[in-house]
Amino acid sequence: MKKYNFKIDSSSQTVSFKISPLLFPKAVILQAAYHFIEDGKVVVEGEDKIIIVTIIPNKAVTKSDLEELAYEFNIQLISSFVEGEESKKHAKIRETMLKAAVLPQTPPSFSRSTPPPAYRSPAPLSATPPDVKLPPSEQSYFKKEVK
Amino acid sequence: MLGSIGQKTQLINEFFPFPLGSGILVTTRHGGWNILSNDEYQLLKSGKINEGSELFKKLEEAGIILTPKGMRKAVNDLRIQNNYLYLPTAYHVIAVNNQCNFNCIYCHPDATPRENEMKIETAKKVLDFIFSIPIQKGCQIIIEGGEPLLKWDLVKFIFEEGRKRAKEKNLQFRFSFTTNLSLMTDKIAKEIQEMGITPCVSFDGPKDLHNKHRPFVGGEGSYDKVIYWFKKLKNDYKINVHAIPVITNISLQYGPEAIIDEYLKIGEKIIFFKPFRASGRALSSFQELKMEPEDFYNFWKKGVEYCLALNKKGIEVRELDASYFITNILSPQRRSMCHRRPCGAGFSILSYNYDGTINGCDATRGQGFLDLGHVDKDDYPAIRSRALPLATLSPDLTPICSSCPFMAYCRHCLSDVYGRENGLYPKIPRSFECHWQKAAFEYLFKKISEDSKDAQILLGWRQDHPEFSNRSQSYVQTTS
Repeated sequence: MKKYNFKIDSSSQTVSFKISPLLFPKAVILQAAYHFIEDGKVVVEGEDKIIIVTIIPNKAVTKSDLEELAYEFNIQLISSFVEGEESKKHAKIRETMLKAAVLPQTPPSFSRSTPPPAYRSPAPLSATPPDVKLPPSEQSYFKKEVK
Repeated sequence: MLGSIGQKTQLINEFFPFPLGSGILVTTRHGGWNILSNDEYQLLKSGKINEGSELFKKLEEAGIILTPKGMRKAVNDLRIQNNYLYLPTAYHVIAVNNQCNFNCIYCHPDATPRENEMKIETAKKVLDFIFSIPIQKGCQIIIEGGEPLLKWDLVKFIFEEGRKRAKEKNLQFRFSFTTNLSLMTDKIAKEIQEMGITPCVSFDGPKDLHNKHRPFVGGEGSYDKVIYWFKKLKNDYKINVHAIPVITNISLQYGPEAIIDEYLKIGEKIIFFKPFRASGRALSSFQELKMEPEDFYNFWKKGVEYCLALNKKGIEVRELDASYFITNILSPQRRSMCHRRPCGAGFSILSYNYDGTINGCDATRGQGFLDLGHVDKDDYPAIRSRALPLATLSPDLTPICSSCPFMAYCRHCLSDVYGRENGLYPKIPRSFECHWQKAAFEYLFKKISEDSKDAQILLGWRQDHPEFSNRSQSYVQTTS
């Protein structure tokens, strides 16, 4: 069998991966492993040069099931990597939008201070970013809140 | 070609694709969305979209392409979605006792027949606390228990005192209480009528099912009593009483149609298929109550389909989760605090236990992990500052959610997460709520993208104010 980054042990019903952190960042490996916590027990161990991930499925599986799991894990590794890269690429847009949305609202004062703590009412909703207008119904927010 | 931020006036926003039928659903972090053909999606991926083309216009309108105009709309949507984090708490749930004459299989506060009730001094302190909050428009007080009718005098006191204080502060005042109805009398019914308040009743559907879920402490079923009083309050006293069912694995065996039919029989037009929460007594019966997400989703979907079929026959009825999900898809307004992320716990809602403990939500009362303080020693700024870390439960900061196409629309109940995971952070790969809601969103997006009567009905279930703009105006207009 061609050698890949995984090893299937049919007797112990496990599949193990040897992944170099030089190829995938640790965060990506952990994120990919996280996706499999519903399918079985997931063990991550290793050191600087190699990370070993072992998945022990919750139920009895065949060798081909384990092989399938191994390929799924590899797909997840790549997906997690791509998602991370995409997220980094858009970080500036995300920050810009969130800042514009959130910063104009003065958060209430939550800290205790002397003189006695005064709760500052939130800034009026009219304090919106330029050209951003809230619908009138938002001004009477209370009327619409339900649980 | 589209430029990058700071250099050109338009750029492609971060987007999340999801295959939907023969097309691709594309969503954004702020909730804008559209459904593209495969060819259109390839153009989007390559960034080669002609300005002025139809595709450009619909992507701009959904905030997938950000022009100055689209950016303003996206920012506005984000502001509206997160506005509740900045507003003073206006929704307050007071537990007047934890004593109950029922022995419900899933009782969330784990109420017992033992006497444990709120003292009048504590009730006054709770009201002092509530009315110390700089509420701008009005406040809403909900009374819970145990069974509040066991402490009816205290309920009346809180109502009178709350109404008086609200009037002094020129605030609108809303008041309601949840009850099992079993201790209702004509005298109390008359008083409720005079108070002009709306009780909410727990009612789980067909007699056999309701009695299994909600027996008296002695084991006898409570269905007959509940039905008798529900109808009497509605018909004789003209009280606007409402009911909510709790869904467990036992409910699944009866099917959604049986529950909807029972609700229609008592004149209810809104059914909330609310899965039981993993808290209180539900934890000791967890194996019996536990539902697989797929099974619950199929039950919910069947229920929605049944509601749609009834609507087509002229019977107006709707499922509430579907209603809020549709609202979240179409609008940035999060009217239901349970359908926000982070949820409203500690921000929009506070709960007060009978001993004066302040908790982030009535659902987490009794679980202990969200006790934020006590009315004897804490003021509102202290409570809000302790709730602040809950803001980190936003989907942007939750692994897997942060790249999910449905992150802008779903919900997660803190109480349920804590009960299942013994922690605040949802473990998404094994989350009950995530699994069934993902399927539900796929179903709803498919439904509303069809040019059908079903789509029209579902779009009519939205709960927000009509002035809120659609997230994907042109799309919805086309389909409806």
